[in-house]
Amino acid sequence: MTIGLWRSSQLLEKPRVNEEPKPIAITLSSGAIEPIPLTRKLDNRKVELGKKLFNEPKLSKDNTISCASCHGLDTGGTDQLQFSRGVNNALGVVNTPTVFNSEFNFRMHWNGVVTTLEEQVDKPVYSERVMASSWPEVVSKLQKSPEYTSLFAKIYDDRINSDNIKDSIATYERSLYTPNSRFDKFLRGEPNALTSEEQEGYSRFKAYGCVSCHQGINIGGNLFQTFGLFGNYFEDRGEITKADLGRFNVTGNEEDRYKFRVSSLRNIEKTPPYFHDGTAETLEEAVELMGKYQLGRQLSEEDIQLIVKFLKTLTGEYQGRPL
Amino acid sequence: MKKHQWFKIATIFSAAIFLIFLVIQSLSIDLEHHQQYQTALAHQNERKAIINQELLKSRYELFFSYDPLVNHLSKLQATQATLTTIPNFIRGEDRASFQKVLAKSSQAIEQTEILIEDFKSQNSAFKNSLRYLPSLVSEIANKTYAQSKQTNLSASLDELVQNILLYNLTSSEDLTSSVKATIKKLQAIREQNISEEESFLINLANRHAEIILSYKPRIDKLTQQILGLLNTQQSEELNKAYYDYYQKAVNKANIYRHFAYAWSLILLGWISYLATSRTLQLLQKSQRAESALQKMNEDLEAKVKERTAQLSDLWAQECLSEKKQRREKEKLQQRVRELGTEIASVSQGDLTIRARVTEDEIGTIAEFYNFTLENLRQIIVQVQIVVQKVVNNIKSNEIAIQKLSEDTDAQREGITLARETIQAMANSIHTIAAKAVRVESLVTPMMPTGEPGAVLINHNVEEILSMPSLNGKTDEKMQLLQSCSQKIAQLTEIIHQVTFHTNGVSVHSANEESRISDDAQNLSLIFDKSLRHTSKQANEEIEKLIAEIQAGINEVLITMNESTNKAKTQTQMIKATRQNLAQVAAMSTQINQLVNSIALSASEQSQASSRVNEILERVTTMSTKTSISATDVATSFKKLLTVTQQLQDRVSQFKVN
Repeated sequence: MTIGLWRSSQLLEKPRVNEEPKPIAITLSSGAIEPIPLTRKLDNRKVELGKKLFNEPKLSKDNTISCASCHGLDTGGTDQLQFSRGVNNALGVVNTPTVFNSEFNFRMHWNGVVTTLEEQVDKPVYSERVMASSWPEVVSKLQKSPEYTSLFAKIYDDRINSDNIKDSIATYERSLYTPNSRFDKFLRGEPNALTSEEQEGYSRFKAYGCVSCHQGINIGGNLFQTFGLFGNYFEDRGEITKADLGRFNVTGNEEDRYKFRVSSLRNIEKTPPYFHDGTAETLEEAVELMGKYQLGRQLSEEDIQLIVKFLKTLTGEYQGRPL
Repeated sequence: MKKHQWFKIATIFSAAIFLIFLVIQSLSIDLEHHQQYQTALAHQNERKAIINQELLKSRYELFFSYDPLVNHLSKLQATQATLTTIPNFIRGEDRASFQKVLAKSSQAIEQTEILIEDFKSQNSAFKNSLRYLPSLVSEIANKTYAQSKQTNLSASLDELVQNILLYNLTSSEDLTSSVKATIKKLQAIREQNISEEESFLINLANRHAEIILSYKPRIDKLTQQILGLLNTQQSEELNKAYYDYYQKAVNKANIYRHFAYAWSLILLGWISYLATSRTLQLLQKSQRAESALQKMNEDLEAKVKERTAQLSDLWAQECLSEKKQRREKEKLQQRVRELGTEIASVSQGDLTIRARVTEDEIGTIAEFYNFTLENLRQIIVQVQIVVQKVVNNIKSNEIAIQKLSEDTDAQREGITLARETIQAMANSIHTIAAKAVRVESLVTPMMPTGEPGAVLINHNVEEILSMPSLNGKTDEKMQLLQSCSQKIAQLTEIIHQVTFHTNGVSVHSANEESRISDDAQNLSLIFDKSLRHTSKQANEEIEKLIAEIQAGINEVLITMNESTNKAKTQTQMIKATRQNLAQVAAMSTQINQLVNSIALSASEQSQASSRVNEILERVTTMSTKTSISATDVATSFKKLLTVTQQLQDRVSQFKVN
């Protein structure tokens, strides 16, 4: 026993591992925009289950609405409507953002109310305007399905519950990334991936300051910004709604009024209409409004067309096929 | 157990518990958790440094991405979440104090996140204007120079861009007034006679410049706030707090360890003392035990010697005794063999053999054996006598039974003959009745003359006169029946006697046989029961038959006598009629009546003879049954004779003379 005590004292005096941790590698970005990685490692079983759940109407109260109802993969991860319709034909209050590359957003929803994809799944399930359901109800429905019971049992020890459903759906959503856009190829060193006009559009995109907000891997999606730095967009548009208050609805800070998460511009060509209120039906219209309210001037038609041409190079591929 | 033993156990148990407590306390530092925690703290410091770097890059670089800032901030929050799991060795007040330090750190990170979000928004707007302003100024310069060639405007715009860029890069407040002065100058130019487009662009440039002027201080302030929140001082404070509490816990564990050392030494000393004292006690005890053992050994040795001597004596005696017993045993075996030889003939049935009686135990057995043989011999002699008597009796009875059977057959034949005779008599009576009717029919026409009637009457008289002779034959037959019946009664009496005698013999024989063997006894009993039962049954049936025969015969005799009497009366009347033939005509009516009476009587006789015939049939049937029973009795006697002869053969195997 004395020897044991002596040994323990030795351990205390001489730690088994180094006290100083290994230094963390600091990755310095080479530019404002980075390409999407070509591949990602994910649990395929969860992806498959998440895909099934993503398309499962049982998540809604009346078994009519699934995630895919508003986030169609063949329509750029949106429904291309100004506002989506949920159970009982209820109309949404904001435009549905794309589900593609959503993992690269630092917050979810226009007002950034949740941080992770897992947390995000809660919102539509409980929203009266979307699925109007609850986890106990959803779990109860899924537990009645032998197929789901079997699939969950293969992946999760604790079978069907809300956490596992959210985990599998979020994993599936992480698989919805769109690499290999022409602009990504350009960033990877293929100068011919973009035409001269598109390159000029990219130059003006940077010169006009768009890149100040639309940067990072998702070309946006990593900060909040006030909609209307120059001029009052909402007064000009009229019929201001609660949803127009943006981040203010989450924090209550006056400075956050009309602030929204900056949208990702990836696959922007495939996700009309634009902005949180879906008022801009075309890309040209959206670029024009951005110039007016974020830059303070009316962009020329040439500027708009060049920038739009650049924006169209941001359309990537899903599972090897262009969107 | 005694009280002091309980006290000892309780003391040892308490000492062990106390030692375990000290050891557990001395090992309370979870080194693995400590290392993980220390690593998390170091990572947090690293993250903070990286965030600071990214913040500065975002602030001062034109081309940047907020992604690293976002990612590192997210990881910093994750690390902070890890740090909330405080190692268990920080306890009590130390834990509460450290939690406060940790909460302060968490609060700083939360505040940092808010500030960073604000920084990103404002910095983006700031960079937007900063990025766009040179382009806008260039555009204005080109347009105004092409249109109005205002060098003033061009110089002011260049000054604005230059001051703005310098303002962005430095923290000099003097540049603020220079920029503001330039803005005023541009505003003044704008109010001059220039185109609307030029005016709008100059105004837009001024607005961007104003945005830069207004946002820069706020961004710088935010930057300073963030850098202040993520400074090393705070990290060091957290690290120091953790290290202090860790050292405190280590010191505490060391104290416990030293106590554990000391206590274990005390326990070792105590155990050594106990062991030594116990060893000494054991040594003393063993010395005492050794001496006692030596003494015991000596005593034991003496006792062993004494007991060995005794055993030697006993052994010698035992050997002698054994030899003697062996001789006696051999002698006894010799005597047994001799006895076996002497009585070997008994197994052949010679009961006259006697064993030699000696003075030893075998002699006693031989004497008893001789006594038994003698008794057996006497029993066998008696059995032989009894069996001989039984055989003789059966043989004598066999003749009687044979005779009985023959008599029964004769009786049956006699009865059959009587029945035939009575049948003939009945037929004769029928004939008489028919003839009487005929007489009547003949008498009636002769009523006026009477002569032919007399002839007929005479004829009738002759026939009637022949009747007494028939009646006499009937009497004779009846007499014969009666004598047969008497014979049957006599035979029955003989059977009674035989049965009674046989019973007596069987009982006697059975008693004798029971002394010989169980087989013979069982056989005798079976035979005896069968014989008695058969004789008794036959006897009863014969008695019953005889009684019925006697009753039937008596009735026949009575009827026959009545018929005879009536026939005699008729004969007398016919004789008188013949004698008074002259008076026949006159008395024809009376004759007619008499003839009717004769016919009626004849009919009655015919009926009576039919009844007699029926009775005789029954007597014949009974006689047949009697004959069968007598045959059965004879057969049973033959079987009895066979069994008795077998018994006699077996008994004769014994030699008794």
